[in-house]
Amino acid sequence: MTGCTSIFFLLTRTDKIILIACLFASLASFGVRNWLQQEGTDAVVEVNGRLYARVSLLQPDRIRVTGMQGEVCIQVEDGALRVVSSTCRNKICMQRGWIRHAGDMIVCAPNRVIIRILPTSGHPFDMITG
Amino acid sequence: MLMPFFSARKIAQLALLTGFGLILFIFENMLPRPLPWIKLGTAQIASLLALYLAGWREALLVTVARVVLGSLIIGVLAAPTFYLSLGAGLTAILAMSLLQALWGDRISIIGVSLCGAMIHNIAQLILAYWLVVQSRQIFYLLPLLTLPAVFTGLVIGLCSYFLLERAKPLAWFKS
Repeated sequence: MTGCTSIFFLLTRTDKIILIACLFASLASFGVRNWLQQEGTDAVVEVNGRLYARVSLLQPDRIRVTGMQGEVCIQVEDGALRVVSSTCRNKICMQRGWIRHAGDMIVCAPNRVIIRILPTSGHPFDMITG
Repeated sequence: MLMPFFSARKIAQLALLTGFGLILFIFENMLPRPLPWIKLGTAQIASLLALYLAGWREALLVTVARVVLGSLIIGVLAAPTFYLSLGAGLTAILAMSLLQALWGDRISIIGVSLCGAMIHNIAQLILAYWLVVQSRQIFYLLPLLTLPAVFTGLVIGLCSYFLLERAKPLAWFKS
């Protein structure tokens, strides 16, 4: 400890290799997200916080949802779902495009419509560890 | 089981280290945590010091005692969090002992601490998956846990390094 200005003097060569490997491994584990994504089989539509409909993604369908401002039309096809038309101004829900993975959602704020794809198994909540 | 091999001197040393770890554990528990999944893990300093000053059996004992007593004091004994921290703590200390035994000449206490922090977090996630959540999506949290762990492991390693430098010359710790 004589005049150490940087902690890197304290690390051995192997320590530095471990440090860099750990950093890379944690950054690489962001990629795990894509690998873990599961295709959903069911979706729920909520209007103004209330359950409006439960939709199976397995059969093609068109659903008209009455939102707070007007009508939102949802198209279901090939295990995916999208909003094809909406009475809202900005059409953000339509720009979202197709969604198919568990946990994905489309929100139309002016119509207060939320479409969520349900997780296929397990609990919807994580836990907070102490 | 292990007790008959420990002298009174060693028991006193381990009690001191356990107490040190407990104080850090309880103090850290009082600090506000803006991001609940990030924890500095200062209590690991006690386990690391036990590993380097005494040995892996002693480090294991100190870790178990600290986790059980700490959970008892802050009131999460037998809650899921307790099993998670006990399991992860044991995995981490065993991994660190192995690292120190195999490559102790090449890896300093800082590197060992870094690996310990990473393994602690990964073990905790796997345990949470097995015991509590049972949904693969919990592994989304992997980078959120391991990235801070690199930083905290480094900090804890540095703290342990300087403490070890000062503790080693003490005749009291030579058994």
